[in-house]
Amino acid sequence: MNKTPLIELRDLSFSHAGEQTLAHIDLSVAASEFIAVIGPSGCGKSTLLRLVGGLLMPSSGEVLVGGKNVTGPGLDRAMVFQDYSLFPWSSCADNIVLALEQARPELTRAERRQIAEDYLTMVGLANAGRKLPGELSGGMRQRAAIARALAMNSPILLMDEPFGALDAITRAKQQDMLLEIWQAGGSLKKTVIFVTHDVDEALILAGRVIVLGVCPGHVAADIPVDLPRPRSRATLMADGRFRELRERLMQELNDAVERQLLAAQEQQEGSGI
Amino acid sequence: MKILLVIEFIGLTASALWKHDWFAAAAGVLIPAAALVRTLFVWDKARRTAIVDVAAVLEGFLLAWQLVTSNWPVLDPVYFPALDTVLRQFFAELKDMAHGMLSSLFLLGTAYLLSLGTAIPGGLVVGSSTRLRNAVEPFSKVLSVIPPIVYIPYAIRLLPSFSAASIFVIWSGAFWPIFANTVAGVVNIPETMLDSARMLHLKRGTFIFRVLLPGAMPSILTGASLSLVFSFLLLTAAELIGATEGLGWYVKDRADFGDYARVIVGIIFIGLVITAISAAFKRIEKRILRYKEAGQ
Repeated sequence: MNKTPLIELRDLSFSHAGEQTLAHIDLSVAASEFIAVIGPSGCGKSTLLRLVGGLLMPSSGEVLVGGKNVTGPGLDRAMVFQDYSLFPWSSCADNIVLALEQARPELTRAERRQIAEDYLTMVGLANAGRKLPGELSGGMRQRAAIARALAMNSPILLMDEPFGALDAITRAKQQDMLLEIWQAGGSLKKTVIFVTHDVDEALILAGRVIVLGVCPGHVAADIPVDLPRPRSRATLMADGRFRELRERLMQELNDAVERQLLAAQEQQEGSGI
Repeated sequence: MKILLVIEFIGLTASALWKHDWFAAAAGVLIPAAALVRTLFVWDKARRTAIVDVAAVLEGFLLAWQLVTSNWPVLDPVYFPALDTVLRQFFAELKDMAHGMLSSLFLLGTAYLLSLGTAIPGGLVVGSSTRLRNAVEPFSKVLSVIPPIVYIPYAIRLLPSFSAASIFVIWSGAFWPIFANTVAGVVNIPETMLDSARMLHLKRGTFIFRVLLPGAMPSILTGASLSLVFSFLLLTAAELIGATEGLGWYVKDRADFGDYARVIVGIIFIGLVITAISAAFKRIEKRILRYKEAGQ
């Protein structure tokens, strides 16, 4: 791992409305690293991503990006959400152009249009520039959202279950596409934090998987995914190491869920007396 | 309904011609003719039937009117003028009424644009701050339920001219539905969409015009169409009370002279004008919200 991490979370805690969602999280992410954050629902994985994005402020501890404290959203971080990433009233190309107006003001109008077209082509939406998000399928919409995030040229890409609402086949295609784009980055690969609840998705994409435990959210395990790159879905599924990692992650997730149930039970018994 | 329409057509035309009511007879011919021509350009069967049905209802109503006011005048002709008289007056009065319409529409347009121009920016600002929203809410709750008509006498005294007074009254009535719906529209923008906008690091102006405004637009338009109806109500009410021109005044002035044929003519004309404006508004609304047809 690099000496100076690009993203660093130090003793990070977050509470909302009197309830602690994240407690004492320490995490370093090096430049060009692809990490997946996985955990049962309610573990605060989306909250963690929003803290890095600057959409939420920590209750205690700090979030450092490039050595600087995060005080809000910044153009060094682009984000893709599960839904509503794009504005439904603008065409796909206009959505990207709007983002570029802020992110890269030095460009001319024509250049922005061209970049929008280029990135849409990159995600396989060459002819969809004029289409409204509502005219596209869910998978195409997410690809357009990814195109927008990539076009902004931010070194950090934050993804909050971007493929969570898609069917299995579309989801697999999207993962392949993302992997291909990320691997093509060479030495200038983007740093990605990818939140998911899907073990296979985490293992196929990431170089490291963080498992979050619940009540409150904490780092339960930090597992390096030592599978060779470039990866492809077909070879991975047959790989023994992949299956081993898969077993281990499943175990970790099960443990986390069990602890959650146990804690809930104790709480109930406690309040029953 | 086709047979019924034919029977009504024969009845109305014949009874009108019998009495030499040329305008009524012309109406009796023109309504079925217009319906027939219209159906030639419509392929949808249900819509074709609807056109014939509407023509039949209208023709039947006119036939009844013709019979009880001209052929067998059982109703008092002062309060219930003959169909032919009303139609004749309608065309004779078109110029005067058009003049009145311009005066009314000037007041309406000014006041309505003024309420759009104040309620939308105000709603966007108040809607985007929880603290401001909580501070304003008690006042908007009380003020918005006061029927603006009660301001009319006060406004007429207070303001230098009738135009200013009626513009104020219409504005105060049209303001609240737009304002309340703009606030609600901003509040109901999905949180993720706002987060997505914040991640783009948009400038304040860009954020307002490219995210908040379009995001709240469906709700704003609901409020605006409600306000439009409200504006007509207040405009005519104000004109009935204090104006010296305009459509509301036209009706009131003719009523003062007991000229009920022209009163009816004025009422029909007002109905047509408001229908035309509402239809235009619906078209604009549909155009602005075109993206909604695409889904999501």
